[in-house]
Amino acid sequence: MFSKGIKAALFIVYALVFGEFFMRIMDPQPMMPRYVQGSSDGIRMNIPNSTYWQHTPEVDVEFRINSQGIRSNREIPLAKPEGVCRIVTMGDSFMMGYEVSLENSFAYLVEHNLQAAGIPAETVNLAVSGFGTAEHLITLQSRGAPFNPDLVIMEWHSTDPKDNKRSNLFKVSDGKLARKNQTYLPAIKVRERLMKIPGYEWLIGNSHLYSVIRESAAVFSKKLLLSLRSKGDSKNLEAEEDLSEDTMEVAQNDNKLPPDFANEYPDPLDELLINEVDSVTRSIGAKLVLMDVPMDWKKKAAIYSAFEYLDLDAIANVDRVSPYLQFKEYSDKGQRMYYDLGQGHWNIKGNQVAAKVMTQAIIENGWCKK
Amino acid sequence: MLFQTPTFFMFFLVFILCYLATRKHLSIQNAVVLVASYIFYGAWDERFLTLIIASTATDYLAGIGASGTKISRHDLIKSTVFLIGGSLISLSFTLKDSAHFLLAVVALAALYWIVGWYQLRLDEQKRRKFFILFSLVLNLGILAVFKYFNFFAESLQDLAQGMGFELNYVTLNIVLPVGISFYTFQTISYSVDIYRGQLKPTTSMMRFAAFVSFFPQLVAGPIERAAQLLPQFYTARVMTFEKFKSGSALFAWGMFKKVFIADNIAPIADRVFADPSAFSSGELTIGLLAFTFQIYCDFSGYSDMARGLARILGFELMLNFNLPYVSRTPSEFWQRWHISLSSWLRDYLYIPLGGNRGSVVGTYRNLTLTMLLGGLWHGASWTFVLWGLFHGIILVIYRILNVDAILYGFKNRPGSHYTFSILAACIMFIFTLYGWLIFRANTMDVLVSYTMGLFSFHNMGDALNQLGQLFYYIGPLLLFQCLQLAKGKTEIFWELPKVLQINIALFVLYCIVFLQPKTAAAFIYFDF
Repeated sequence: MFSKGIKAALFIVYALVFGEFFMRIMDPQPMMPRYVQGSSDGIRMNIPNSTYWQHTPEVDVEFRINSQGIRSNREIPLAKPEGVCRIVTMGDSFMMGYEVSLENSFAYLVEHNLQAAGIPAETVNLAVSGFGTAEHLITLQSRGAPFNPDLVIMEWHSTDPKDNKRSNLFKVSDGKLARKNQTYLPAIKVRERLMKIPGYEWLIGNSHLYSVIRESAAVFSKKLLLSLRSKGDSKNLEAEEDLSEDTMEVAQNDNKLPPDFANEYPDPLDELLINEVDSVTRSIGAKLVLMDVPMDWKKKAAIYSAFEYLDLDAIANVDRVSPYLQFKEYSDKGQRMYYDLGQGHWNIKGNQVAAKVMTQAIIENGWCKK
Repeated sequence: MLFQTPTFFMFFLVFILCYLATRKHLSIQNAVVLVASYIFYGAWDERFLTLIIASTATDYLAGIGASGTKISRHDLIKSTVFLIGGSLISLSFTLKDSAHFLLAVVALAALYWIVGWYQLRLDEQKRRKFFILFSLVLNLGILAVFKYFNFFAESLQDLAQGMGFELNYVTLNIVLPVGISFYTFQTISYSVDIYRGQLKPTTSMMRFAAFVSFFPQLVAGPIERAAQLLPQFYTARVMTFEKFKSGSALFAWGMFKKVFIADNIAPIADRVFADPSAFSSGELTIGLLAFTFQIYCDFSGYSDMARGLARILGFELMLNFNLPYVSRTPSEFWQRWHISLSSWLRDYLYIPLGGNRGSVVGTYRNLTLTMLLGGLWHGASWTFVLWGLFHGIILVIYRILNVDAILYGFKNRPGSHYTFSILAACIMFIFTLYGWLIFRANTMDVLVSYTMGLFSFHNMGDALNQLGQLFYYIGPLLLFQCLQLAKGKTEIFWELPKVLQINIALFVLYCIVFLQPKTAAAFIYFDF
């Protein structure tokens, strides 16, 4: 009745439909679509004026991106309002507030905490999911500086060392930081082409099968890229993914980086990038604060400071803030600071605690000019 | 190199291309199988290839001798060249650290020539006996040194300490070579079958070496009999699309059992066995159930994958598992579980011990002893010995109660037959469960603590969540096994309606691709 071609096509369609139902029943996926595009500064940016949702078994969150590519409910003029302390925040999905509403995101909470403390403040959240320090540096130069910030809060996350290596934007040459490539736009062309296909947007926001395929492909390509670009030393970097229970336990007891990959760090590239961000921040008359994103490995309530990855002496001039102790205290009491069923970002409590710690540090150190 | 990893798929792709390219030249194709098998094994630890080579060369000679034939100078040269040449290649990567290995190889080669000289003085009967002993001593010697030396040495020291003596001895820092129990049993059965006149010795070292090291079943069985597998190296294998389809389906089903079921439920068992005293009876019951299905899916999954791979290549390996958990009696269980080992133990241990030919007490003794040694085969630990003893005892009890005959008596009364069969299967399953507890407990302390926790029956409803989690993984298997049971055989996939075939295939593939743990786990039976 049907030709072989039609039969094959029908089978593929049926297999995909089957797969969709299979994933929904057997292993529902968090729907975390990424709306990013290429930017003239050679790195990714949030797609301006886009609106999308994140659905996980724990949350349903709407994301609204303004025309400047910033997750915000308003447009932010470049000119700084009189008497307002302007804070630029840079980071990845944690700083962008993945899995929480805008009102519960770190940057928003810092702004409101400071205002509540009588400090007129305004945050400009330039975070983009997947960014590392190398991209933060470019972001500050091309997108942050025009906002004339008084304070720059840059996130430091355990994924940054890998991201910095993978992006290949900078290298260490004779002990100094040097630009290596002008662009790093992973899978952006493919994404832009796919976005033109009718129904694709629906797919990325609703298909569990597509979501698991995309995530698997992303993990695979990230590993591949990392191993290609770290020239043989990727083994230990990747070891983080496969931490054994024993290693976990040792690390948990010692509150230190697991020995499996502690030897890989610190990487001079990371410290040089942070110092360069500090230098650029100073050149625009602002102050840099490095914000620790404590890690929660394998959902075991074992909390670690991402600062363990750094040679802190090499970035002695940079002020640092860490909510690690508070996270650990809550965690020890059984309070979860991360979502368990989505992608493990800070939950509302996590954002609140981190924002509170940062707000106190800003007030105590007088980093925001009144 | 684990079957379920991308590395193995790459290896197999390259191998099958070479295999296909040489399909018109049997000898070359056998050589391809041999080289691939050695690469497959060497990927784990190339030094221990020496043991396989030694076992192969020894039983090549022993096979000829056990048939009563005089070993020729030509055969001696072949064995010596194979032994020394193969060992040199396998040890060449670690020559500095492997001098003792090489020395042992040279000594073995010298022994071949001494044996070759000595056998000329023996008549046919004595020569047959001499060579079967030669094979047994060499193969069991390898096993004793590499698998049991430390176990017996430590046990002796513990015993002496208990009696107030202090024994100073040296324990050897020996790594257990993967698959050693499987290939040594395979080579022993080859020589014994020849000795018994059930098989003719091969004169092709290449074929024999390929038979011993055939990579799909090298490291975890099935333990093939030479009479079944060796002739398949004599004639060109027929590879058809039907065999490819059937082999692939079998491989996928095995992989499903391994990566979707066994590897996903392993943490449930691992958790409770790590510290049984910390868990309620409910959790201990679920943990034990989890291990019961983990070990079945892990091992039978491997066997299915091995059989599937072999079928794709045009070989046929024996069925190793036949729905063991529906067994109604211990004897039925051992006809359904690890069939290649239990039939091996029956043919090469139980029957030579006298089987059931002597007195009733003698039969019970033979049963218990066979199961005891079967337990010890699994590993150098007293819990394995106890597990074997446990199965030996229940075999004897069922035999005393004549349960098999009672159940058989119901055969003509369908209603009673089904009722009593289900009841008997439930009782047997409980025995099997407890057997796995003995098997899985690393130490006697764990066994005692687990047993006490299990039978205190406190908080039995504690683990309902975990029960749900367990059934999430084993549910599809149980459903499929109901179909297998109804049809009375294991390979029923191609007999199902097309619609069911497509849906089962898609389900299995999606489970394998998306629902396997991130890290590939080794097979449990690699340790045995």
